[in-house]
Amino acid sequence: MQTAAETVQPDAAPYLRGLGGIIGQPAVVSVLRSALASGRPHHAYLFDGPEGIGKATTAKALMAALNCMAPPSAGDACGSCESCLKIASGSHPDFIVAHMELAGLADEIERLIKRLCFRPVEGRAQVVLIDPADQLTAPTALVAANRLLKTLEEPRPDTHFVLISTSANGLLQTIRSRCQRLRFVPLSDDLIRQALKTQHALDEETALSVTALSQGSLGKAVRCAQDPDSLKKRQTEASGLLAAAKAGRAVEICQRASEIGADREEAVEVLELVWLSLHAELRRHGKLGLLSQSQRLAQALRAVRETQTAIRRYTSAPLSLERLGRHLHGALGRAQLQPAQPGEHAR
Amino acid sequence: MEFRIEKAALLQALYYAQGIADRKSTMPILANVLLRSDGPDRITVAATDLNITVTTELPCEVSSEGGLTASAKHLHDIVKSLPSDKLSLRRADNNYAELVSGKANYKVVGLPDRDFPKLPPHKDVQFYRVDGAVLRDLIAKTFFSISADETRSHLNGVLLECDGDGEQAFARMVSTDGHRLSKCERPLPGAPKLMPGVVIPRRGLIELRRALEGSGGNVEIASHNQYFYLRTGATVLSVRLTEASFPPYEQVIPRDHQRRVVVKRSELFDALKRIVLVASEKTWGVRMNIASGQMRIESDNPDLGQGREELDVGYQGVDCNIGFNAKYMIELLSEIDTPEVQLELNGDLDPGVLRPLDDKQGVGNQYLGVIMPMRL
Repeated sequence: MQTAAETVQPDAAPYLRGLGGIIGQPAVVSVLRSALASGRPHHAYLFDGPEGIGKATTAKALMAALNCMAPPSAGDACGSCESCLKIASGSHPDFIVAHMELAGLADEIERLIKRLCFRPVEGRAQVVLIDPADQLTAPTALVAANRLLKTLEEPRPDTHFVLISTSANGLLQTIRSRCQRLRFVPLSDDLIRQALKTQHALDEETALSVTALSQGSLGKAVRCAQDPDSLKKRQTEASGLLAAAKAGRAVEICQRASEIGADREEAVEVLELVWLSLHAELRRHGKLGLLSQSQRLAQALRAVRETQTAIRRYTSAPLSLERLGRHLHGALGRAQLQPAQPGEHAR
Repeated sequence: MEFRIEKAALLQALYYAQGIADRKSTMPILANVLLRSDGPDRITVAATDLNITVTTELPCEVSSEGGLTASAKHLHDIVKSLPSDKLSLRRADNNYAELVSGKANYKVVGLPDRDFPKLPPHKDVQFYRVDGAVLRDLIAKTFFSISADETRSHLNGVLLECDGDGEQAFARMVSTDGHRLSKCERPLPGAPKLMPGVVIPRRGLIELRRALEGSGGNVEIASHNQYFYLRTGATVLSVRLTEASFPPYEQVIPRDHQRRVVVKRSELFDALKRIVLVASEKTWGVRMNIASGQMRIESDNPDLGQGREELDVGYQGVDCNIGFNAKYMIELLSEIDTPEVQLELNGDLDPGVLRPLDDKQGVGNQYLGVIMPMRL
C-alpha cells in the first residue's frame, strides 16, 4: 500500500536515523545514547539552547529510537519500520505534541494529563513534546505550569517528557528541577553549510551567505534561505534603526521603533540582525586594536540582547526599541562625534 | 484498493464509525474512518479516538486489496444519501477515496491507511457469550456515582469484576467519587473470570451502554491486555482500560449497623425530590431526623426558604439526626425497583447504606449505595 513516492527520505528527516541522525550535538547525543542503552531514559528532559539547532529534531529522534521496531543499535532507528514511518508522517499516536498557544493552555495541559493516564497506544513508549516550554513562564500560564508539575514529576514508566526551551533559566524552578537538563550548542559553520547542501539542496554560494547569518542555527539558516524577501526587509529595518540611533535622530528612532515593534517576533529577528551587524563591527575594531571603541560596541551588543529578552518577556516592543535606540546612541553616537582618546574609559 | 458493497451494510458500519471518530483531535487521521480489505470477500471498517475503537467486518467483493481512510462524517453523509443499493469504493491517487454508485461519482480527501493507529487485536482474544441486558443494568446502577474528575483516572470509571464459574458466575460493578459508592452484583452466566477486576473509563461506558442498547439479547465480551471488548454481531467495540488500580472499596462499606430504617421507596423518592427544591444548590444538603416510626426530612436555605416532609417508616430505637446530599439519594433511589428500601445507619457522622429491601439480596445478586453524611 505504500508507494515509492510516499517513502520518506532519511536526508529530509534526519531523526529517522534516531540519534545517529543528529548533527553537531555530541554531548547531548552521548547522554541520551547511554540512557537508552541502559534501558532507563529519564522521564523528563529539558532541551536547552538557541533556536534552530536541533532540539525538536532530537526529541523526534528520541521518539524514533524508543519505538523503532528494528533498531540497528540502541539509540538508532531503522527509518523504515511502521513506527518510524508514522513518526515521519506525524501520525504516531504516541508522539504527543502539546499545543502551547497561551489561550487555552490550561485546558490543553489538562487534556494532556488525562491522556497520560493511559499506556502508549501502539508503541513501547510515548514522548510528550512541550515546545516551546518558555510559554509556561508567561504570567497567564502559571496555572497550567503548576498543573503539569505532578505528572511531570512522576509520569507512567513508559512516558518521557521533552521540554524545549531557548531560555531555560526563566522557567519555574519547580519545572526545571523535575527535568534532566541537556544543553544544546550552536552548530559550526561547516556543519550548517553541509546540512544546507545535503538536506535542503542549496547551492554552495547561497549556503555560504546564509550560513554567515545563521549564528550556528540551522533552523534560522533554512528560514533565511527560504524567504529572501523578508530577510531583505529585516536587513533594511535593522540598518535603518542602527543609522538613526548612531546619528541620534530621535523622531526617526521613535517612528522606526513603532514600525518594527508592531510584530513582537519580527522585532526580535530584526534585533538579531542589528546584533550581527554590531558584532561584525566589533570584530573589525578588535583587529584594529581599538580598545575603547570595542568596549562601547560590547556595551551596545549587551543592550541589544537585553532588549530581545525584554521583548520576549512581554514588555512593550516599541518602547523597548526606543529605549534601545537611546542606549545605542549613548554608546555609539558620541563615540563617532568624539573620537575616543587614548586611555578613555567607556561610559 | 477497490471493493463493491451493499449500501445498507456499509452505512450501518459508517454510522458507528462516525460516532467514535474524533473530529476535534490534533491528529487529523482520527477524524477518518479506515476501510481495509481482509481477504477477497471481506473488509474491516474502523474508527478510533485512541481510547475507544469500533471495528465492523463486512462481506463485500474485493477486487484489489489494500486500505484507505477518509473523513468518517463526510463518507457517512455521502453514502447515506446515495440512491442505489450497491456502491463501489476505491483508493485513487493521492489517497483520495473514490465512490461510485450508479451515475454518482464522489472523491473524498483521504490519508494513507498506514498512518491509521493500530487496531486493538480483538481477533486473538477469546470472547464469552453473556446476557447484554444484565450488563446494561449493571452500568445503569453504577454509572451515576463515577467521579467526574477525569484527572483522577482511578475513580473516573467503573470497576468490573467477574467471579464464579459457568452458570454460577456473577459480575460486579463498583463506582465511587469519594463521597458515595455504588456496588451492584448480578448473576451473569458464562462470564469470564475477571479477578482482580478492570477499570472501564467513563467515556468507554457511555459507548458500551449505547452499543448494548442497540443490541437485543446476547452479546460477547472479553477483557485482554489493556482492552475491554464487546462484540455485537459483526461489530466489536474496544475500550482502553484505565490502568490505575481501583481503591479497596470493601473497606468503605460498613459491615454492620446499629439502626435500620425501612421506608417506602416511592414516598422517600418523592419527598426528596420536593425538598431538594429548597436545598442549597451547592451542597444539596438535607437533614433527616429519624424517630420511632417516623422520619422527618428538613431543608433550610436562607436564600430560598425552608421545607419539611414527614414519612412513616419502620424503625424502633433511639432518635437520630443525620445530614445527606439529597441528590445522591435521589440518584440511587431512581435505580432501585423494589417497593421498599432499607437505610442502615450507625453514628451521625458515619456513612449510611441504602439498599433495596428484597429477599433475593445475597452474594452474586445485590445492590447497595454508600453515602457519606454531611455536617449541617
